[in-house]
Parts: sequence; structure tokens; C-alpha cells
Amino acid sequence: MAERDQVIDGERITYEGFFSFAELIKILKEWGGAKGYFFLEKSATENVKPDGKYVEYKFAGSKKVSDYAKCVLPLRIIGSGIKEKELEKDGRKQLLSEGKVQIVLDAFLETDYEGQWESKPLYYMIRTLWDKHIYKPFLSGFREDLKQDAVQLKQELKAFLNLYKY
Amino acid sequence: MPVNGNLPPQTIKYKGLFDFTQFIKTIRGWYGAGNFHLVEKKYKWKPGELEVEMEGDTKYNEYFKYKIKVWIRSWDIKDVDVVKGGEKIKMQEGRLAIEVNGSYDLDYQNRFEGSKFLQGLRDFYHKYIIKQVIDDWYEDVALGKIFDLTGLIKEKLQFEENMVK
Repeated sequence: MAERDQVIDGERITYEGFFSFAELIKILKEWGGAKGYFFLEKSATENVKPDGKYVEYKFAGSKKVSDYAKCVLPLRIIGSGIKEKELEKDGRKQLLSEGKVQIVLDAFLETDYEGQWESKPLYYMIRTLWDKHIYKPFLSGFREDLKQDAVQLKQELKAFLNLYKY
Repeated sequence: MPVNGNLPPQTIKYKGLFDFTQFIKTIRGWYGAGNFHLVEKKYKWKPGELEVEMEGDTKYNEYFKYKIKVWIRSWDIKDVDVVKGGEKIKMQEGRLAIEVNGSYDLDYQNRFEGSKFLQGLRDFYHKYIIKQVIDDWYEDVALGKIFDLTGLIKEKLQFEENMVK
């Protein structure tokens, strides 16, 4: 199994008000495309209740930075009490969702994601020494880049949600 | 034996209104339109519960073939009357869990099965010569179909909740 190094754990964005789920996911995928991340939608849950929908999307964004290391950004978008409402803005009618949304963002660096250095104990030992003493500067660089990407994604999503306040 | 790989599954969970018959028909239609050879592996019904498993495979070229599988399970189903466009229609209300996943086969015609040498040659071919093609092209073709089907399923389900009971 690949080694995982947690860089960011449980960063949250909480928002209450009007927003568009489709646009939010579109922003996420566009950001991912621009940064080289491929976002895979792992699951989508929708529960229609009398007081509004409960929606949960799980995404995992991944980017291979080398043939040995991969940056992974798992993301959960949780919406509760979601109701569809039609709003008029600048003379145009838009169908938006109103409710609470919480976005939980993690980030981790995965090394040896192809599992090439874990078939034998000797390979595993070589991999451990390699990670700790030889490849360390590169891994630190990847970790920093991943942290910056995660922070930037958080800012991007926050800015997008704040647009709907006005 | 062909060399195979698995694709990441996509899960959808839904609770609300849906028209199960139309829903299954849509999925079958999608398989048909994509020239898949469809096999319905399971259709299990008991009062209030339903489980369906479908699998469709198609050949992309003479070396690569992929399969898309859909597993649908529903609970607490009950029939409800819904008003749509001034007309009363029968739909179902309940919970749905859907999983769409896939797998692919390389060398499905077993051309490199003759001997250990040929198998070794095939492994070398996969690891060093067409590795990029497998990762960036073949897998993406199959994944694209999975996303397509998942999108269709979600579209079908979202449509139903705007009905008035």
C-alpha cells in the first residue's frame, strides 16, 4: 500500500444562503483543470426531506507530480436544508439552492502510488531510507506545493460562495 | 487469460420520488445506444425491496475491451400518485443506492497466452511500451462512459423531486 503523508486535515468552509451546486462543482473542476488535478466524483448522496434536501458529494482530486509521488485533495461538500428557489437578478431568473453548505477539505501526499517498492521487505526498507534521506528535499517541495494548492482552492471556493451574498 | 484492471466506482444514494420502470428503461437504453452487449445478472424483487445488477461490455479495438456494471438496490419502496403536468401518474417513493463501476481487459483474444515467453513479452509491452496509452487513453475511454452513465442517472433522479404529490 502507498505511503500517505497528511498535509492538511479537515479544513472547513461553512456558508449559509443562496448558491448553485452545479456552479460550485464547475468551479472546482475548472480550478482542478487549470492546476492539473483530476477530480473524480466518488459518491453523491441526496435525501429529500420535508424541511429540505440533504446532499453530500465526495470528490477526490489527484495530480501525479512524478512517477513516485502524487498529490491528493479529498473534498466533501455537504448541503443540508437545501431548497430550490427562483431568484431574479438583473432582469434574469435563476434557479438557485438555499440552505447550509459545508465543505471539508483534506490534502495528503501519496508516495509509491504504483506499489513498486513494497513487494519485498528489502524493497520496503530501501523505500523508507530513500524517502527519509535522499528524496527528502523533493518531498518537502511537493508538500509545500500541495499545501499552497489546498489553501488556494479553499480561497477560491470561499470567494465563489461569497459572490452569492450580494 | 487477459490482463485486466478495475476502474474507480461511482456511488449514488438517493431518497425521494422516482419512476423505477422508466429509470431502468433509461439505463437499458443507454447500454443499447453505446453498443454494449448487455447482461442482466440479477433482478431480485421482494415486497418493498428491489435489487438489479446489469453488466454491459464492448470492444474498443482488437486488444482492449471494457465492461460497465450497474448495481441498483432500493428499499422502503411504496407506490405513490404524483401530479405531473396536470396528470396523475404512478411513481415510487423510497431509497436508492446505485453503484456504477467498470473493468477492462487487455489482450482479451489471448494472443499472448501461448507460452511464458509471450506472457513476459506482453507484460513488458504493458509496462514499458503502451503504459501511457493504457493510463491516459484506454482507462479514460472507460471512465468517460462511467461518468456519462452516472450523469444520466443523476439527471433522471433530480427530475423527479419537483413533482407535487
